[in-house]
Amino acid sequence: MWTKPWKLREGFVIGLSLAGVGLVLQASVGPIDWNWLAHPINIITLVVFCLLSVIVYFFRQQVYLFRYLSTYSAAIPSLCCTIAVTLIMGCIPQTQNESRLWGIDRMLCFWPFVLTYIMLTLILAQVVIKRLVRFHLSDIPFMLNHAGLLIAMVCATLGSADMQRVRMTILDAYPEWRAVDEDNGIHDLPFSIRLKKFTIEEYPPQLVVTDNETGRPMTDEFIVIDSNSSVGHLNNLDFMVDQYLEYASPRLTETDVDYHSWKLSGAVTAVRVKTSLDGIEGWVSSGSYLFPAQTLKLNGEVSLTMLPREPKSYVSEVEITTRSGKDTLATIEVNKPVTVDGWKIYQLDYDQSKGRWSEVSVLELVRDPWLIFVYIGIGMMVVGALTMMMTNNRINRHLQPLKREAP
Amino acid sequence: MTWNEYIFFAMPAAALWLIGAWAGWKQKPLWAYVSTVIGILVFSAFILLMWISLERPPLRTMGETRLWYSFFIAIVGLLVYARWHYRWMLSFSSLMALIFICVNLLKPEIHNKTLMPVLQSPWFSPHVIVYMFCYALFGAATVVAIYLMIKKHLSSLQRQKTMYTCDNLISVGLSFMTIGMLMGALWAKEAWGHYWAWDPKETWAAITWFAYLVYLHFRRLRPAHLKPALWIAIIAFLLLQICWWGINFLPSAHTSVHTYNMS
Repeated sequence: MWTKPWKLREGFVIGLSLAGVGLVLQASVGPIDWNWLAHPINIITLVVFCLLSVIVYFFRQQVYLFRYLSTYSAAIPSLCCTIAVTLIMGCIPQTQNESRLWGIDRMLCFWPFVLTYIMLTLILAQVVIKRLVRFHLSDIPFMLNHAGLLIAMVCATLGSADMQRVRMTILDAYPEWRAVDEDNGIHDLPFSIRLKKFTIEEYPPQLVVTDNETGRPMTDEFIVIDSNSSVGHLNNLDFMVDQYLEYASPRLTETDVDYHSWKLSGAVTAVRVKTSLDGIEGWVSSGSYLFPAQTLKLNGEVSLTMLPREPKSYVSEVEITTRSGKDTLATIEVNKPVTVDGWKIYQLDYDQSKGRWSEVSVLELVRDPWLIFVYIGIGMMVVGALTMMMTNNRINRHLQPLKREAP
Repeated sequence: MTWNEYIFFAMPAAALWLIGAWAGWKQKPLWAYVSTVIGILVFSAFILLMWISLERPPLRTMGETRLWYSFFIAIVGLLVYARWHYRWMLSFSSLMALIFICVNLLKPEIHNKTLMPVLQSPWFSPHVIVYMFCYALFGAATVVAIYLMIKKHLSSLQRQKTMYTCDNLISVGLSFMTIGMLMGALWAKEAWGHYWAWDPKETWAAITWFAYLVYLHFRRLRPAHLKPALWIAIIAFLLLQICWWGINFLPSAHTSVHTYNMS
């Protein structure tokens, strides 16, 4: 061991030692607090990292360890150590609160985890510089993959402390300037948002046969009510929809409950169903915050039930006013955020207890000044992966001469 | 056009793809191209007619998404075959397409399954299709790896040649995986506000990705040491299984936002 050239074994020892150092740091200084990395410390860290990488590269002839860093023998153990720490993270439920498992349930703040990733980044930087110095056109796929990953990892990590993520609950009564972060800290934003209209589009109602005792569906089968005369077959019974009211309210009759058309907040969806069982017919409804759900008892064991309506989309039409007084109308929905003054605004939630009658909309606002650089890295990796596909046969050519070092 | 007519398009398309696969294996490229292309045209005719009759792209339900799996897998299989002339490629892509066709024919009730809002994104299909394709390639690589492990009496040349097949499969698979993962990241930014949140599914995606990177780097470091490389390929595939479905049985799973029951 430690006879030159160093092999995989030495790399594993370095990786394990680093994890050991991490454990000592974890025990002595406690978990990493990423907030200290906020601007301008992250810029300084980036400059130091770049300088350090260049210095390490220039002293590679003098210091064997530095030369070793850009070999496959160093990269593979580093990747294995990265897998090991990430594996722990993947198995142990992670928490945002105080750690109860010596730090491994808060992996992102756990020193051995972070040091292992730093080692991987250092190796990546050395490999990239090495290729850059004697760059050849055939190195393009390699550079796109490796430099892309390096840029994405470094910028995502350094940028994380600058990322702001807040929530805002908006109503149509007045514009809202303030948002809260996850620690309930209040933030003033450079613009206000007012809810003009909130709409939920729902999937068609679905009927299932449920157990009278547990209330759970008997099978996976269901009938979709997509028109006034939907028919279906469940639990060896035929069902036919007799009447379908999208907006309705219940009305008590002398013997039963009847539904009639009614379109105000709290209205339920109700269908009148005929069954192949003699004399069994009646109303089924999903219920709302105002009215209870209505089921149709088929026999002593099972009932016909309407599942809670599933939202297909929920959309906030909002008015955004900047401090300079500029008004913008925007539509925000899931998967379709809106960008204003460097903030991305997402549709997050609504008043679930009121469902489609929710009067509020919950938005999430995210600002990430480093995003563009992460995207550059991601873009390079995508192009790198495509070029790797196109130049795939090269692997064979590389392999034949049994090259060892020098990636 | 409804799902009732699906079988009349799917079966001829599948038959044509299988003929193409057979021709590819027998190294009759002209037959392979012609048959596969006609198969794709037949299949795309159904998608087009479905699109027209639904008055929207058929991308909403799981059944409709599977329609695109079959379609794209056939196309990507043809492209990869045209580029590298792997004789197994068309057999493999046809088999994958056939599996999804059969699921659609045998489980029609899923056609009505609704998609939650977060899944209604133009990223959904490409992200899932690309991942499915890479899983399939890694599956094939694992089969090759196990074959090499078991077969003791291969000549050194045969062994090396088969190993190159494994290399190619993993290399192409990793390219697809990288693209699938990064598309997932871009989608996550649009849907959840952040491109990488260390959600358990994402964490396992990273583990699997690194594991296949270990394979490729090890192959370059020690091209003559096949056994450790084969073990890496098999272990990486086991990790992939945890990422794909095994994660649901891990204690960390309940914190995942990737908990759609997409049977």
